[in-house]
Amino acid sequence: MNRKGIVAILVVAAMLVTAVVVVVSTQPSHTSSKGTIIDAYDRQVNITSTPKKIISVAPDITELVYALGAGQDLVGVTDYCDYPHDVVSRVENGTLKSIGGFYTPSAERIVNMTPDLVFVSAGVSSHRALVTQLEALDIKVIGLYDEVNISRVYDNIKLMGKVLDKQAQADQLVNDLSSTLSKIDAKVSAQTVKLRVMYVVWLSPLSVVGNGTSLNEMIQLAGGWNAFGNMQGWASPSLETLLTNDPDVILFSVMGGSQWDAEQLISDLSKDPIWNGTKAFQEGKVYMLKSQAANCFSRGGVRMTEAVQLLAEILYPQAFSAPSIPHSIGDEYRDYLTPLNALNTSALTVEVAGSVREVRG
Amino acid sequence: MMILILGSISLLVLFTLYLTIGQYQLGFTDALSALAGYFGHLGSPADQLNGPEKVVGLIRLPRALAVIGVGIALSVAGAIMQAMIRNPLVDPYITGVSSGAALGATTVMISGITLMGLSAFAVPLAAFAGALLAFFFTMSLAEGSGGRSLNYVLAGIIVGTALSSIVNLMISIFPQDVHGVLFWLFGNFNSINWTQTALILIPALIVSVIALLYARELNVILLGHEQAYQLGVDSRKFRQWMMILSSVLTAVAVAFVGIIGFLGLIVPHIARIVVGGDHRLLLPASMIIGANVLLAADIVARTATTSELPVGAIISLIGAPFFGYLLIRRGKEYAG
Amino acid sequence: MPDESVLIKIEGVAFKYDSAQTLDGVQFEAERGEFLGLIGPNGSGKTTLLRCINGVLKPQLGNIYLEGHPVAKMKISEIAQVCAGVPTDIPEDFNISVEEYIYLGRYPHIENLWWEGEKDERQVEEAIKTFELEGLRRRKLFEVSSGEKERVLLAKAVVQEPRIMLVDEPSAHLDLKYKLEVMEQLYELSRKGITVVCASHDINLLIKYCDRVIIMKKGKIVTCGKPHDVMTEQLIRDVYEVEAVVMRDGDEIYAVAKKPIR
Repeated sequence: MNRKGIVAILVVAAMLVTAVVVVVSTQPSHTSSKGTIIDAYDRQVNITSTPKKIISVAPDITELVYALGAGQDLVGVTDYCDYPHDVVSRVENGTLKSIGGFYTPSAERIVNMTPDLVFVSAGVSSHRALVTQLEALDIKVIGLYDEVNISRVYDNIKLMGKVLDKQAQADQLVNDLSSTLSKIDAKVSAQTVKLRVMYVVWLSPLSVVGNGTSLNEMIQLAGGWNAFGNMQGWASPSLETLLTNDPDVILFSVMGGSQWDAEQLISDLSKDPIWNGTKAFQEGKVYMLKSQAANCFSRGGVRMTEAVQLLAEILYPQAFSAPSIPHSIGDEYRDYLTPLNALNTSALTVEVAGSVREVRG
Repeated sequence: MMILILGSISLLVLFTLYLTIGQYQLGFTDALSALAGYFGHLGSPADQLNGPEKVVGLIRLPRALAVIGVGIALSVAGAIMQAMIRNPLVDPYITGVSSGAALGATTVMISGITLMGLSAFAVPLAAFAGALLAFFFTMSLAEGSGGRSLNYVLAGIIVGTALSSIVNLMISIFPQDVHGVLFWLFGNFNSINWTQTALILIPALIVSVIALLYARELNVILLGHEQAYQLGVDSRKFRQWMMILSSVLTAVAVAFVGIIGFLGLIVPHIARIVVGGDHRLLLPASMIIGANVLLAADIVARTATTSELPVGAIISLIGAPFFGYLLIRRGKEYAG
Repeated sequence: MPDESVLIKIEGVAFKYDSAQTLDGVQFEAERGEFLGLIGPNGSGKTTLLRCINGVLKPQLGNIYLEGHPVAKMKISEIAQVCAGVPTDIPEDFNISVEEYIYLGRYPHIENLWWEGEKDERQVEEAIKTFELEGLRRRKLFEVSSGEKERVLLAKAVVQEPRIMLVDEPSAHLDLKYKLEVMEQLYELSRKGITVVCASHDINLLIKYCDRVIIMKKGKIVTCGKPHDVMTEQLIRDVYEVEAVVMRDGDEIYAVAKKPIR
């Protein structure tokens, strides 16, 4: 009954159990066979039949599913999924259910929907634990890549295409997107002066996108130059840096609802001598992105080209025959996206002024 | 003794409640039969289970057990700390353990390190390591400056503050990851599975039992260093040992579920009111009460709204006013 | 072969605290069942000496033996089984009952893993009877009066089944009746075979009961012997720098201070 002995035994037991549990739980699952997909987490997932009941755990994933033409196979989305409009109407009429929030999807609700497949994002840290949980529940999960740049977006399109057996649509989509980008590039690369763009994510503290973000890449694809490209990630420049870097165009992004009134904000800032000193304010090239306009920038994914185009039209309206873009853009942003095959002739300009929409999904 | 019986009954009730309430709509009897069904299928692969069985057996059951494990771990850790520091306003995070865990978790979340095959354990492992590292710094600092209770408190504040500020710095440099980090910091049992439950419950129980074996010494320690020495307890060495136990318990809890505050502070007090200061009764009472409280709080967290609430916030909401009330009622006892 | 009757043996002990030489060349022996008094002015090292005897403080020089075993080599659990210290006071914020407090004294001897055993219960019951604490059993420590407190402290020390008891200023804040009571009880304990070493400022009280008295000044032992033999006016003048009168009344001896020496 020596106490030290008991303690020693218990400690050893605890460590042993821990080791055993860890080893057992990290056993690689079944051997790979035909139909094995490697996902963004480097996991081997066996897809034996085309998934017909899909759950998406992120808004940009939802958009991708629709873009590949599998929107009707979705049974569950997050509370934040709101595009395309079909998502909203289906949630309203109950044919599409919510699985909860972006960071706290409810495993119970997911089980309730008996999905064939769940898509998560490797860019969201809390999704990793969800993957383990769903695996234990015997629900198939595929992790999509963190979309840090365009090529990752293409990777995700192809990955999802393979999983959903929509490879043809996936390839087509990749083609469409890259061709759109080439067309935009054709128009903007001719510009002699690259405009300096500032993309503001938050006002207090002042946060802008810097180098290494997907938004930075979008700015470049739109023919612009990131005024804060010398800073990394989401950077917080001082007001001095603002003056030094002197952006030509400023975009304010409001995610998830308009907290600021565009006119109010711009008028408030224009009273501030430092902001007012920037070229953007001087020349009135200040824009506010709201709701879906903001989303297509921040979510990226399949709408990334729309964001690039919108930005390119803001920067170089002379290269596009777009109608003048207002300072506050929201859900109606697509009205301002001109068809890129249009030549810059006045005849076609008339047609453009009407309601030409690009339909996808 | 009464409290242990009452507490166990209450625990059983809460446990049953836990299994039958949730986002997945299940009737009471359906839930119980699902539970039975789950046990009936033990050993066979998960695809044999139907929906309710999966929900009850693979989501709620492990989560309930994990909650109990964390409730026990934090309550015992808190009771030990209060005895060691001889101050009732002390909680198990006083040695900087929570800041260390936060630093570990944040580092992994921001840098995206995956540890290859162990990627599922990347964050918990980093958090656990961070927690123990923080404690190690605190203990070195405390022992190096005298090894008295006050030294531990001060060292813990120094280490905790330093590490917290590093976390804050990281968040401000990489604000795009702020959501994930904050979410982890608030403490939640969202993605618990059986593996995590095993890794929480078993160490929690084992280390708590070890602590129980030293309950008598915890009583003797309260006499002060000299008196304890004369009875045969080297309070300095004993304090080191107990601090280690407490930190391991806290680290295990924090690693998997984030920082759940107030529990380790309040539960030992409630237990003290019910059974008195003898640690042979106090520790088991704390365990039972802690398990009950956390289980009840998590039921609320899971079901109050459609999106999950962080359970740590719920405990703080109830805990703060309750503790204020305690302070007023029994203030003179704490005036020492 | 260690001498069975010598409970405490102190040889050439020196202890330094920071730069102050608190003990210097201390040497004496105490026998079984002896009541040893320790007197001296403030700073003479009485408390330090007591704390060296049971190992709380470790002297830089010299050896201390308890029952023939060197303290420096004993485990503190072993020391606790031989030697009990009676503190001056109880920690204020301690929220336990008198009975629970006395049970704590059994710590060095409890055999069971969890609860106390029969032997422990017997010892505690006996102590409660001896010190008349029956009515105070359930009372909380901080609710006990000074006089009662002293008995509680002694009870806890006694259940430790010590062969040596170290008492430091037992009657500091007690009134006349309780001062005497405490000394009586210590005396009884020594008659039962426990070696009692008691330090006190109350010279008269101590020399009334102790078998031998040790007088210390500035860390050194000035003299050691039976009160009748060593208590002289000259001694008091040297040690306390006080003019005094020493009177004998049969077996009794009293020292009464007259005035300080300038």
